[in-house]
Amino acid sequence: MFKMRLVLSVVGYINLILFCYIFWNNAPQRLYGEPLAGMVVDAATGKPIPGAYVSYLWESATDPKGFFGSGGRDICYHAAGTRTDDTGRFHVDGWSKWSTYRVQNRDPQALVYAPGYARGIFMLQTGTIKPPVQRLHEVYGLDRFSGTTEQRIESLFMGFANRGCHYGGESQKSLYPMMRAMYLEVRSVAQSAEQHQAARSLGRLAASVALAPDPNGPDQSRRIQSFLEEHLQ
Amino acid sequence: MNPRAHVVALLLVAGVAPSASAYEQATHALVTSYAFQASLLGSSSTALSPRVQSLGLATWSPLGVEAGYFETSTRFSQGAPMEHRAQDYERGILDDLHVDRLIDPLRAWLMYGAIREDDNRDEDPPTPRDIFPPLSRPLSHFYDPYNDRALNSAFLSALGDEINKAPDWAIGSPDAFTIPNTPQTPRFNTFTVFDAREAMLRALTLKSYDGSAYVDVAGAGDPSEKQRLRRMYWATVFRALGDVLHVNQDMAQPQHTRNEPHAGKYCSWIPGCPGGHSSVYEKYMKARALGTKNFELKQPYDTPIDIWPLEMSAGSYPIPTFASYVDYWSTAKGTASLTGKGLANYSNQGFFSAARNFDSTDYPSPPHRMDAYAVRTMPVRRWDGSTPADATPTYVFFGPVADAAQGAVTNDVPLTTFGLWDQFLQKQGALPRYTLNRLNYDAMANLLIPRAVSYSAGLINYFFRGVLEITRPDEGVFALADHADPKGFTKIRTKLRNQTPDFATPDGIPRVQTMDGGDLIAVVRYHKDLKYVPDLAEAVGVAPCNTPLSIVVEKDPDASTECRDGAEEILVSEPVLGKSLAQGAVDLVEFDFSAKPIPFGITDAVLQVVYRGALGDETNSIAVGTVDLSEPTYFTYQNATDYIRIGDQVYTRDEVDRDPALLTQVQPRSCVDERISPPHLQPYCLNPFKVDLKVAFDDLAQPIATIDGLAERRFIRFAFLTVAGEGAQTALKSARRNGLRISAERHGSTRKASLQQDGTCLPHNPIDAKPRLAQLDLISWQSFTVKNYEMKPLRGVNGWINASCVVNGSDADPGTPDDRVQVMKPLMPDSDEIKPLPVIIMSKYLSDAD
Repeated sequence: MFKMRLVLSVVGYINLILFCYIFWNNAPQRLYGEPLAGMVVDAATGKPIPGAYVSYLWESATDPKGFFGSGGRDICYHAAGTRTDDTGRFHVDGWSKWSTYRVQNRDPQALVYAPGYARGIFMLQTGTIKPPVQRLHEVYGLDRFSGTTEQRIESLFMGFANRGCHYGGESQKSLYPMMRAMYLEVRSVAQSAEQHQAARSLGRLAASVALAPDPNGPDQSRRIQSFLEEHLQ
Repeated sequence: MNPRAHVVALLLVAGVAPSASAYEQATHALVTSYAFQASLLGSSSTALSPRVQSLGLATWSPLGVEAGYFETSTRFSQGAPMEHRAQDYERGILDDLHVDRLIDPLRAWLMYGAIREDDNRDEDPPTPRDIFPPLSRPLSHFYDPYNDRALNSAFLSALGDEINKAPDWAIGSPDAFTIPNTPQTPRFNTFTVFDAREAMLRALTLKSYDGSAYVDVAGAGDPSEKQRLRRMYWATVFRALGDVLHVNQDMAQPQHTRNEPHAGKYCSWIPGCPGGHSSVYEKYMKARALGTKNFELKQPYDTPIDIWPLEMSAGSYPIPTFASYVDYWSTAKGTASLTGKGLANYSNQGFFSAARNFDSTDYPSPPHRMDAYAVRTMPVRRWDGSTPADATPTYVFFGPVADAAQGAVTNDVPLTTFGLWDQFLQKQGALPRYTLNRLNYDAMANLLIPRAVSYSAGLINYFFRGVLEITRPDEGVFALADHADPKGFTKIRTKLRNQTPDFATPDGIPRVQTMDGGDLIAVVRYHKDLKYVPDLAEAVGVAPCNTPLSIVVEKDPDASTECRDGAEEILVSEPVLGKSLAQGAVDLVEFDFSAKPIPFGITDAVLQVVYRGALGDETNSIAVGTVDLSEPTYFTYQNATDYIRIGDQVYTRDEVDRDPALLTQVQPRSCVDERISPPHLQPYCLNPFKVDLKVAFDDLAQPIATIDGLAERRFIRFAFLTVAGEGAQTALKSARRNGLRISAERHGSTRKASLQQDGTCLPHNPIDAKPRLAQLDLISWQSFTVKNYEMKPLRGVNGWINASCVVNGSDADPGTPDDRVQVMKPLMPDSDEIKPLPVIIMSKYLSDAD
């Protein structure tokens, strides 16, 4: 009898652990971002840059559910884009949503774009990952861009425009104004066939954030092409 | 069920099955893109490569617009392909890498496969779930050649056949080393070499081989539906091959060949981090692939790392030419693996991994002896290029990395680092230890990424190695048919050369790529000429279908016009069974189309010949050749002996007889009765006559078409299929150079009809048998030109090569131009005159049923 109770207890204990484990694995968590505000300035003169685009990407590596779960992909789970006003200032509201994504709440990275300036990528947080905090006095200094057309296009595409925010849902649409502006700049300076091709690629990325497709839905190449023809030609 | 299996089953039910990662998907996508470029499918210019053309893919949207593809085999419904659509998941990654499926379809579909091979049921947000059942595919992306094992762990082994050695998983065999040609049935992985092969046969022929016969896989469906299926099968070929490449590329990640999971999970809960630490190398490589300035690691690190950007380049490692799929993974096991030439052999013996470092004795190579390395003291430089204030140095072990495949050694490679600094070059207060940091990972990537690219390129080349060169037979045309018979072409005759290039054993011994006892199938692809009528009064090439834009919609070549059906159709011959063709050998092969003859009313015709069977070491391989055919090219011969040529003009007999000026030019003079006034033609001279006709390419002793006694004001017309363009193939050029020759003799006479009083024929021998073209020619995947040449009438009858003979009434040299085309009056409409008379076609071009 004692043995039976022991076995039942052990089985019950295991089941409880498994239940907790499954619940923990699948329970939604609250993802959030704190309000962010600040200024974009010319790094050399300190003067504000009106009309600069500021886009925040909340990115994280993901935890797989499996015991030996893969290292998990890096995803962007939220985006917020805005522009500086006449005084070079900007503001982004805080946000909150529930998600089962196994990501960590943290501060975002800022991507800053202004025509004539080198791109700006600013990490709001370094070291061990910590929860987000309100940051209302950010100052992002941009250097004047100097380089070839090819370098300009490359710098706007790789590691910048191509980050996107595939898992940001509707929030990624806020990136569209910046992506569109970059597309228009690249299209206006493109000369070689490769550069025009790069412009088209940027256009596709812009269209993609504008449409915010479901990553696990069918390929949207044609819809994106239609958007390009309708809005970005 | 044993207890361990029970626990695993519980974990499975709970959705917590184990998995392990590989190079990140963006990295695989970029490596695959580089591999495509380096392979024979790639091209340094915007033009399409010769191999793409020989596969018959130089056509509009060859893999379809709608991103559909198949699983040709599934574990739960054998033989019934399941239709899928590519997901936005993979498209998004391609966008990030600057690749567009609609512009670069072959590359894109390979990349799609390379991305989706990492489908993993344990991720949230999930990887796409459109393939059922969801698997943890990365579990089968490991192969340790030294121990000849898949990813090995106590928990994993109970999962059974969901975990495979990487080459078995990718190739689809239960043991790719010993029985590489035996598919595992059923199998979890439905994107293997076997699946790619099956899809390729279906894409080319819409048929599958069931072990005894070729069966139709398309069923009833309109042409556009069948075209959609063929395109989807082609997409499947590249999708599946992309999966295969991914699994090979993982062999260039030492953690995958040194049995080192690197999941980064529960490290804080369970001592020893049993799932392995997050892979710094893989995260770093992804950052390089996408050009980002940082990456982030999960357990046990939970830290973002800033880096100074460094591009991931393709390098220029020689492309391997192994004659067996598995050799690209591993050519040797056990201790022999240390000198093996596969990618797994190289990375297993050449590099340390994070948890199988210098202080681990699991593998003999790289060696664990200090004297094998030059140990140098180096200042610390962080991942972002900065230098810490602390001057404590690191000790970097520089050593050789042997490359048995090239018989070379790369010396002075920083293989590991010893010191108080961790992998992120954060100083640790504990004891010094061996770690891998950016210096080591960059050195590793410099050697491994170019090899990943080249081994993948080698696999692409090997998969598509089977090449057939198609040339015309000595008689000069592929197909020939009497246009008086509406049936069409019932036979294709062609010379085939096995042009498969050389591949070799791991020892470098050439492995002859003989086609041995397989089957040959001819396929004719075409678009229907919607205007065609048998008398050619209307057809493509005749108004209103006589301009390029009348047959192709510029914005959408898949759309139909009033002249051309937008859907491409195929006709497949009866198979020619049991054919062998040594490498380089040529053979003449005849294909029977009598069951479904090739119609005359077609445009954009292409001939493909498909070989299915043993090729070198692969027992169920496919070789293919493609040639752009002319459209049915019409040769019309009219007996126009109701006209007489005087000087450089033609007249009716009555006109000559009534015109004294013309009569003075008639030769011989005996044909004019000058004893009367005004003079008249002698009644026995310059009369219409029947013609005996022979037509041949080059040798009139071997005519391809003949007719005896062709009456005046009647004509014959035959059609033939030849090459559309002469291209770069010498063999094709020579056939065209021969030209078409005719022999037209007065019926019953042995003299040539071109002699005085008999006749003069235009055009003159040899006739330039220009192919008739009405087709879309692809320049790149997104640009094309349209050729559509106009057919011309002679005496009111449309044709392409129009020959006619008139009576020669003077001493004009044969072949000199005259005005007959403008002057001769049309034949009688709605009468037998405008119907071609039957012609005798060379029997070689007729099927047994004719």
